[in-house]
Amino acid sequence: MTEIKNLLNQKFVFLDGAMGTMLQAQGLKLGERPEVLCITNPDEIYDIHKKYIDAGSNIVYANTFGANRHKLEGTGYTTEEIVSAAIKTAKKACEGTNAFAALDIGPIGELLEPAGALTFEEAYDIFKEMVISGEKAGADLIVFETMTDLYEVKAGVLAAKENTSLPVFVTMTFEENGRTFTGCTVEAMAAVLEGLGVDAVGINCSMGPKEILPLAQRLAENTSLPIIIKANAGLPNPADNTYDISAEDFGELMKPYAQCGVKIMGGCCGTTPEYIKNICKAMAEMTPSERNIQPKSVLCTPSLVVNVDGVRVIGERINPTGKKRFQQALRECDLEFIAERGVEQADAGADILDVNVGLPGIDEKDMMIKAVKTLQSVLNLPLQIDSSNAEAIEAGLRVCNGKAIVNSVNGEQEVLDKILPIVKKYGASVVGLTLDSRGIPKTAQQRFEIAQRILENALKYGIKKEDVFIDCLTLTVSAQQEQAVETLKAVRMVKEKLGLHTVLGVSNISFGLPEREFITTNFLVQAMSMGLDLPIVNPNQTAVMDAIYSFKVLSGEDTNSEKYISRFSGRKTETIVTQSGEKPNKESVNEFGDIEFAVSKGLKEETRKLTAKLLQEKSELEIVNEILIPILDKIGERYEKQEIFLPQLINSASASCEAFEVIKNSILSKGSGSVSKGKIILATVRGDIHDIGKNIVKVILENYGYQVIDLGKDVPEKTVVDTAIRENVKLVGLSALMTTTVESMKKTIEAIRESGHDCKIVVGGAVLTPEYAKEIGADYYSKDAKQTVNAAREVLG
Amino acid sequence: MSLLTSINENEVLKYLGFKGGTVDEFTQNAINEMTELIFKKADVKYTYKVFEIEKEPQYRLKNSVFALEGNDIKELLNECDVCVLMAATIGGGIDAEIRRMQIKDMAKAVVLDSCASSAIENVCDNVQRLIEQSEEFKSMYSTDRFSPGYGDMPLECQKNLCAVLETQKKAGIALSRSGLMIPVKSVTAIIGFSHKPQKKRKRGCEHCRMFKNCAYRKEGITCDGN
Repeated sequence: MTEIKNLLNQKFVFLDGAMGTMLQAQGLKLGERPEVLCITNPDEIYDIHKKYIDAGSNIVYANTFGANRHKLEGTGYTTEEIVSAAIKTAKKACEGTNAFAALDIGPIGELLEPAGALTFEEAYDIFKEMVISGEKAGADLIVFETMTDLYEVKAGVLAAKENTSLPVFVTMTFEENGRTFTGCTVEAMAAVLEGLGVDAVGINCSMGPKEILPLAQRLAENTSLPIIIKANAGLPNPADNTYDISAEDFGELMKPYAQCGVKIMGGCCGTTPEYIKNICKAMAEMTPSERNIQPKSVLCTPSLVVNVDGVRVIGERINPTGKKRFQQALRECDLEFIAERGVEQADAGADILDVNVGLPGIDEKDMMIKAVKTLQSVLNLPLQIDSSNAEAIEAGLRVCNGKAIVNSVNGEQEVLDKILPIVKKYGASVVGLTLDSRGIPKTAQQRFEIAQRILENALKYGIKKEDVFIDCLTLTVSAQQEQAVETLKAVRMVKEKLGLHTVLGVSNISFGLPEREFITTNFLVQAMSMGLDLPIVNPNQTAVMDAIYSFKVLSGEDTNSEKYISRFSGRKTETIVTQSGEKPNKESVNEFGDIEFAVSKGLKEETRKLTAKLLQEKSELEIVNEILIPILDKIGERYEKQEIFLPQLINSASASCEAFEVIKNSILSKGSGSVSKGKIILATVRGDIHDIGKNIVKVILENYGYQVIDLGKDVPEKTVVDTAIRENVKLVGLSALMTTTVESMKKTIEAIRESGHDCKIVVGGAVLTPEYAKEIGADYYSKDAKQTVNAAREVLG
Repeated sequence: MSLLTSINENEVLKYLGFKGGTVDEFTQNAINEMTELIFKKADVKYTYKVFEIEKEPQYRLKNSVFALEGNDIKELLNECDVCVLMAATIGGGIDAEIRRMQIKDMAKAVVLDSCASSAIENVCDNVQRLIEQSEEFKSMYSTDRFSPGYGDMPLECQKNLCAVLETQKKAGIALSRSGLMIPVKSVTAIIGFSHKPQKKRKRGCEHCRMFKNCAYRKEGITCDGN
């Protein structure tokens, strides 16, 4: 570790150039795994390392880029064999010189969730095997390069940090648009990797030195870490795979990098020892410039950076406190409900989402992991992990793809000592509540003092000042009227005297008062003018968001009032009419009243209202059985007759879902009864990630009153079996789209049968036929969602 | 010039199961809206490489590990000495939009999925044209596009094709364990080039990448409605 740290004190550190380019020139075929050469022809690799060291490289990358177990599959070698041979070869080349050997790690080759099927935990394991082998073989450092997925990098860096004591360098590959293939920006990379404590960060591959330069300049402004640049020898010609910049020009083109403070340099595709020699020569007369880094408070996902340089809205709706429907969703592990709350707030203008899934009787750690993964699969906002359970916080931060906030610590030393190291390890920001074991202080001064103590502790644990946010605590004004002013005072003191950003859960202020919105927004505006920049609110409340948009005009943040104008221009009183102004035709479709028209046209809001009205006359069950299901049957019939088509069918089903939401809420408010006609498991089988068909079936089944336990996509056999037994489910629906994944469907059916659990199985998916369904042991084959309903009726009634 | 130039509405309707008749207002609006969304969010990437074809002892691409399996590809490349491997995608952002839309509005999500399938076909057509018009090929004749999974070329060939083309590095396309391309709206293909004119087959079922998965074929009809 110290040796590499000393190396970083040099004026410049030179890396090597391409390995693949050299090997291809010597006859490596396209598609062949070059890593195997370390065992079959180590001399060839040794020579390449040697040439780079002779050219001036201080660090050479061992030939381990693709030596992970996924890519080595079929080569007959294990990761440990390849890594140990490759490191040995690189170390041998370094012998007698000052050069170091790096364990080089490229992408796994399979994409991670949510885009792909590889889980974060599996990726971690694959990297863990590599880094342990690398350290054992004597690597001096670990380099992750050519990465495009920040989530994958995070798995790798954690594996390296938790299993070895080696320094870690990371370079990612960006395209012309300044993003990696998965959409990651330079700023997000900097924020996340600096937080995770890597030793140097940078850019390699894809483009030449001219194209990478503007990205390097951005990187230099956004991290205090040493910066690495390994550019290609220009841009490739797809016809013959050659590059357009000569070794001499390459050296010259690296000079501007020194001027923006880059100190670690090498080459990537198309470069050779000659290029490295020229970089060394060019740098002999240069010194890396001092960098001017402005401290910033930043939160991010890989593709969205939120700078806290104005008011940023934290959405509060993912929280079961006082919400029966949300509590039910957590108990039923209904992740879609959580996803809907997330998407809704994102659409309403939230910048960050608070995630609280704590509820007595549920495993909060496990639920936090599921909630975080679900949310980041459907939306692109930074998260605030909200829990008092250290394990749940750590689990949430670990799987969070980006830089998150932890909500919260307080002034109690025990809490600080427990939570702050976790915040530091994962590079998060943290909210400090101004209370301690004595409770919430009465005066602003006392709250300020706790804030000061929290800041001191955070700094002690290595957390930057910019990452500490203080919550001065909102108390209910109807109960403790004098406290509203104290809170506002405290916000101003923390902001002005400590220079920290402040958070406030705003809504609490108006609890117990009529027309709460007036008090809430009034308090919000006052707090913002005192310096509140991270209000935790319900962004679905129009008045709240209106107040924030207005505030941003007055504070000068919304330049030329652009966002304000675009929010309010064209706003008018909302009335519900169909898109063409169509009105219900009383004669033809009015059998079940206006609700039939609303459902058949997919009018969601109208359906909600009509359902609420119907609840005044009929019971929940009557509405479901006597109105909704017959309407859906009628619509289903029209679909079968091809009078309407798939989008219309689903649209009607979605409207009907709104009716079911109203009904569920009504049942929960009465605290008894259920309209569920029974539980059905739905799963897209292992290996398959095409789940849109399964999701259509889900919507339709739910509309017939069945409770769907949606296990998602790429579901292992065991999960299906365990859930079926645990929940005593009588009907299991499986979907597979590919010829290659029908095999998993067969195995899942076998596993269910072997378990002895008594249930029926219905299968569907593009590749299936009734004959094949029978052959693999299914009880029912469904061509579409409607047929699945028929199967459900037979089994469950 | 962007390589995504149009989304064929008829093709979208076909994917959605329309078999003629008038398109309802909801679907029509959804197609318009989702088409616009794709034009806004698509991040087209493509890559291609030129290979000489070795025909003895078996069909393979010179200097690579990629063997051309099956009789159909041999027939296609019979008169060709060179071929192009290409891969194209409209990007992972569209996959994310489809996931998100399933939470917001399932009906629109289905329309979006169909529009995205049509979009990637359009991109492939444009990439093919670009290659055909390049200096190297403008005086030659091209074959149809052929992908792993067509005819008797096994889907398993996808793995080597992607390795040889370095699709992950060059276009951000990776394969899952079960051989699915990710981003999902991606295509890989082989195009042969010859000095002799090549028969343009009607793009019939057997040349369609949906060949084995097609809902129409299961019902004994084709997507043309025949």
